[in-house]
Amino acid sequence: MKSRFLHILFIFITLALISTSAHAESAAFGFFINESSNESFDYLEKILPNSFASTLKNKYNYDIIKPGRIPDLSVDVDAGLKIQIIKEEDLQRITEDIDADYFIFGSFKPLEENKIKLTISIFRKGTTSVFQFEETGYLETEIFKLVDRIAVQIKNIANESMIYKNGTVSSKSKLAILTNIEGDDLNSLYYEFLAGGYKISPVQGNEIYGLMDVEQINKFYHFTGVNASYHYIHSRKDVELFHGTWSGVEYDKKISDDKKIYERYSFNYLDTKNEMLKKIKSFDAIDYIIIIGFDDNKSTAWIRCLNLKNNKLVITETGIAGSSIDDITKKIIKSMTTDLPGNL
Amino acid sequence: MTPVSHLKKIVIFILTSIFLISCSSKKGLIYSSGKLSANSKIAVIIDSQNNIKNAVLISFMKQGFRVKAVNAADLYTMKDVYDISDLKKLSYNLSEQDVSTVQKSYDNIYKLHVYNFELSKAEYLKQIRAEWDVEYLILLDLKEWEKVSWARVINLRTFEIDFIENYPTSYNDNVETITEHFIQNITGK
Repeated sequence: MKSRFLHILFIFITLALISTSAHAESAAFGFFINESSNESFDYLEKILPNSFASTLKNKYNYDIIKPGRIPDLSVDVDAGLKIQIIKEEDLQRITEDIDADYFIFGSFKPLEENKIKLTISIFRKGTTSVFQFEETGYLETEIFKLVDRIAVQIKNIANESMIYKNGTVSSKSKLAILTNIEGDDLNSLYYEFLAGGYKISPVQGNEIYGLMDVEQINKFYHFTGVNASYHYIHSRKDVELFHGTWSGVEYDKKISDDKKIYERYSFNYLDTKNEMLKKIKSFDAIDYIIIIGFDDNKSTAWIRCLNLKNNKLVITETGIAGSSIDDITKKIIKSMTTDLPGNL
Repeated sequence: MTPVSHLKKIVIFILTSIFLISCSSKKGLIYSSGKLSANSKIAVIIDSQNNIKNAVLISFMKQGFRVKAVNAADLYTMKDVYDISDLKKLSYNLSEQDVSTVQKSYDNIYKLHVYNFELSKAEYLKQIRAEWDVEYLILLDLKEWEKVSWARVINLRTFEIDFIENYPTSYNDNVETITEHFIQNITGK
């Protein structure tokens, strides 16, 4: 009797564990807007999101909501109305009544030689950030391959690990590593990279003490490259700085200076950052900048990797857990040298 | 077994565990991309009292190294350059508002200043190489027993890290023995 009870209990626990691990992520899709003036491509505005949604549902067991089922996005195309571009600042409102973890939308631009460039944005409901990336591929012959590749990227980004990859980092590369550990811990991290064949620029390693704590390194958690970014949603409405003839010369000057700050560090940040990267490149032959943020216990880390040759974001990954710094670093190196899980 | 002897065994086990954990659990490690010649021109960066600094420098000079006078304080720290006007201008009280544009500007200014700071330090190291004729920068942090002393060698010609070592300080170690240990591994002698 007792053993039967234990048997049933075991089956119950096993089923509970299986159902927990099989919990499906859910994603809602917006339309993908045709950014060109060529209307013959408008048909892709619906086809692309529907294709991504179907692939995620069929291959990765996502619960999905297609754009046609989202009231905020309903447009009577037959009546000649154009589908509107979704502004990031409207995401909170649009997703308010959508029962999905992620909202995915984007745009595309047909290029020469029958190519197409897609920009895909992934918004996690309830946050103030968006992950955006670009993919380019051929229309017609390779469109299914492109859809599958993007679906793999979406699947990896739209979960807790937020893995994005745009290539691998070869072991002969020279790395500049910024992190929030110091001293012998930093040596342990360097050791794994050096033993793996990487060259290490002494950036940050040229000091006895570390400069950054967890809070400071976390400022790099949002990261921007020319091809992809994980960024805060910004809006000019957030920082409307009113001025006019009533305000006086001194006040006007102050407001004008404040506006320049927001332009430089928020709205045009990529240009500002690229100016800085140009200076770094002219100084030292660094191939990649790697940011590694450890938590307080040094038991998990996140990584951002930027290719300095083209300023592209190459890798993002969060929640890399390990028993020690060298264990975590080994996992980071493995992630840097292998392609995306499930990529074609 | 009586309950008393059982309890005694548990207490001994716990005390032994505490003792083992309290000893430095970190492993030593060493990486070297090549050996430094003992007559290399070096600058040693160490944050200690002058008498300890002198003891360290003497150990290097005894081995034939040509030691240049560079002080840890010469590499200014980020705290000195981080006080910037743009950040001050953005310091409104936003504790009750979720304004991500402002947060984004804050974070981005910080990031740019970290890049800028690292660039300034790199330029300074280049100056040390060119004007003071220093070939290698050696960073040392000497720790007491149960902790890990460490060393790092930066090649100022290639601008790469050539040598690193973590050395768990043993009970009998002192400033001279730790420094000599590092010199031995840096030079391979």
